[in-house]
Amino acid sequence: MNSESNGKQTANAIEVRALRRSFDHQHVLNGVDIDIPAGTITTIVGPSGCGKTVFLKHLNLLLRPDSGSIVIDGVEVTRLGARGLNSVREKFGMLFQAGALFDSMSVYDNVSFPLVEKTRLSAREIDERVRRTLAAVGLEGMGHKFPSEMSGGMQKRAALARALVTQPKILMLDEPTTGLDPTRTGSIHQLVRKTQQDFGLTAVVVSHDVPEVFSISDRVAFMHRGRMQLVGTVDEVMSSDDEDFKRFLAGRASGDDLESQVVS
Amino acid sequence: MQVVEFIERVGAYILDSILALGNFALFLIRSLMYAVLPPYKLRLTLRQIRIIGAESLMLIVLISTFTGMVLGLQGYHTLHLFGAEDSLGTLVGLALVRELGPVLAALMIAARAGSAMAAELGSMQASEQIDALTVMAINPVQYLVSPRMIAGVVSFPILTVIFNVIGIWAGYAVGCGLLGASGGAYFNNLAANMSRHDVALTLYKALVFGVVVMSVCCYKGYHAKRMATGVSRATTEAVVLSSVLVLAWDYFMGSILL
Amino acid sequence: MYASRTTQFIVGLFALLGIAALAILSFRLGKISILPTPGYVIYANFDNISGLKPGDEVDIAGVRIGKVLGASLSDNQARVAMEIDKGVQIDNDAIASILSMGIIGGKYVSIQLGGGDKTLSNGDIIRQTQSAFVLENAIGQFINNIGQSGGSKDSSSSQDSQQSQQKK
Ligand SMILES: Nc1ncnc2c1ncn2[C@@H]1O[C@H](COP(=O)(O)OP(=O)(O)O)[C@@H](O)[C@H]1O
Ligand SMILES: [Mg+2]
Repeated sequence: MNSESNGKQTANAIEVRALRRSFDHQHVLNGVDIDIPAGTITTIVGPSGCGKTVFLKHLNLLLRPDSGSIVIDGVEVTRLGARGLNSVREKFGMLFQAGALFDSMSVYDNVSFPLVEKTRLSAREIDERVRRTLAAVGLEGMGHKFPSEMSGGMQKRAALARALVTQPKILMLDEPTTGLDPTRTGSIHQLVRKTQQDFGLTAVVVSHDVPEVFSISDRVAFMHRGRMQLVGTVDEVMSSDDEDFKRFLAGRASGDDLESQVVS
Repeated sequence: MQVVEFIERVGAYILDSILALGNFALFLIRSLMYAVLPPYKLRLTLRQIRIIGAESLMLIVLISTFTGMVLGLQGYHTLHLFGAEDSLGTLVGLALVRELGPVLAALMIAARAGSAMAAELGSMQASEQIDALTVMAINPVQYLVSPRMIAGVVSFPILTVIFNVIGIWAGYAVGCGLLGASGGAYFNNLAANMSRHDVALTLYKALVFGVVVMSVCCYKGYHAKRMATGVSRATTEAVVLSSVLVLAWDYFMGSILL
Repeated sequence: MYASRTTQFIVGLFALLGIAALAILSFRLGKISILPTPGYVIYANFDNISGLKPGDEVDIAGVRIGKVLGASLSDNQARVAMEIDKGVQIDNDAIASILSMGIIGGKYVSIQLGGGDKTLSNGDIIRQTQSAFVLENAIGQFINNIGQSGGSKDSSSSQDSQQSQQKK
């Protein structure tokens, strides 16, 4: 549970302290503290509406905190100007909860877009990488389709491909497997794990696929009432006797019809 | 109590308005700044010129034809009362070049392309596509708004000038072809009375209206609320506000420049 | 998402159309010249130019031969500069008058050629002029005349008062 214990061997990619943010008197982030070690997968779980998406959007400063600090690779980012922000954001790849694909572009153009706009790769290299990434998420040959012509699950995988294709240092995935069938869920999990290992990147995953997602997680954070109520390795968190977490796991598992797998 | 509440509400409204105006001014300045600063979004700009300008051409042809015909008809009957039919060309031409061409063209483009633009940007905002640009470290104002501003600044004068020319010919067709005003006098009087200032005025107005309509429609779409009704609200407000601003600004410029 | 050849073609065509329309508006409909005009400038002094503006027509026998450039004050008179098309010859006995097109129409300068022995060239002055007919003045004169002489011989005097032929 003590996140500092792991920090000895690996530096922290992200350090968040006392992060607060409210919308119209609703305290969504209520003093969030968390360290995310570089080169790990950290999974954030918690009930719907507890502020997971809002938290992710603070990490790349899509939303600005009311107070608190966020340190990315040793740089305090909450007070950066536009130029500094861009250099921080270029480290991130983000999968939005709803995909956020550009609906005026085909899937292929969506995935190649960040490469075309932000890199100096040759057309051939870009093409090669886009095809490889589309194949990895199981969308080979679908490049010509437009987002509106695809199912929600396919859109999610296309959006994942767009987040992965730039090989970012930090990958943020907001519910990458919600809406996918169990087979797809497993293969996406494996893809995230493999990408993370191949490039040694840091991943922050928000997921409701508890406990399957724990198999690819190094660390788990349980978010509740606007804070990280539990943070630690999978084993530490699963063996904790936090009442809220137990209730969350039980509710989650029974809701998903997965009683057999509940660890309690 | 009620009085205090009322005054508070008026105060809040005024503060909100000032804030909104400030935000709009910032948005306008940023979009114009990014339009002149590299990297230039040439392909996006060309695409927008096609959508805003070229694809509005048929509508402009239609509206300008009818406007010119109505001016020719009413102008002839009125001037006929004073035996001044020879001035018909001046009447139709100057009315079009100084006022109706820029204003009607701007209103038509706002209704056709401006509304579509507000809806497009609004749905991009609602589905987080604008946020997706931001997290890719791509400036959404530079990527989405500036090309549309440039396209407006290019398209509005072109469409306005086409509006003027077609309107003048349509007025000629009705006034001289159907009603019997003198064709030679129509063009001679117009040529004698239309100066380079009038042509400059029509271009200048079109340019300003281009900036007004594009910036209002982009602003409304860009800041659409993420609700079911957010996009439709943004679209309506964009068209209404840009039309009102065009008419108000036209009167304002007219009273200063003439 | 990228500008296709079709888009480039359409936008190019659109731009050319706009330029063509601007050219028609300026040079065909507006007769606005960008090159220095090949005409020459002559002047005429009037007591009253009431409403004559730059750009107004100058004609001989109803045929347009030039335009008014502007007016300035000189010796309590209005000195009107007119640009006359090249090749049009005006003699030194010509009379310039300011006339109206219809009752409410604009003003224009009409030149009546005389039998002079010299041709005017750039910078010369037309000596004989006839000022604008000002409706209000004419009515005022008319009422005066009725008051003074019982309205017996008003018809000719109101004409005379407007004709201020001058020789300088
Ligand atoms: N832009 C916003 N304006 C107002 N309230 C917001 C905004 N974004 C999120 N919220 C509120 O913050 C809370 C947390 O939302 P979110 O982070 O999306 O939850 P989740 O954990 O399911 O991702 C919700 O109650 C939501 O209503
Ligand atoms: Mg969420």
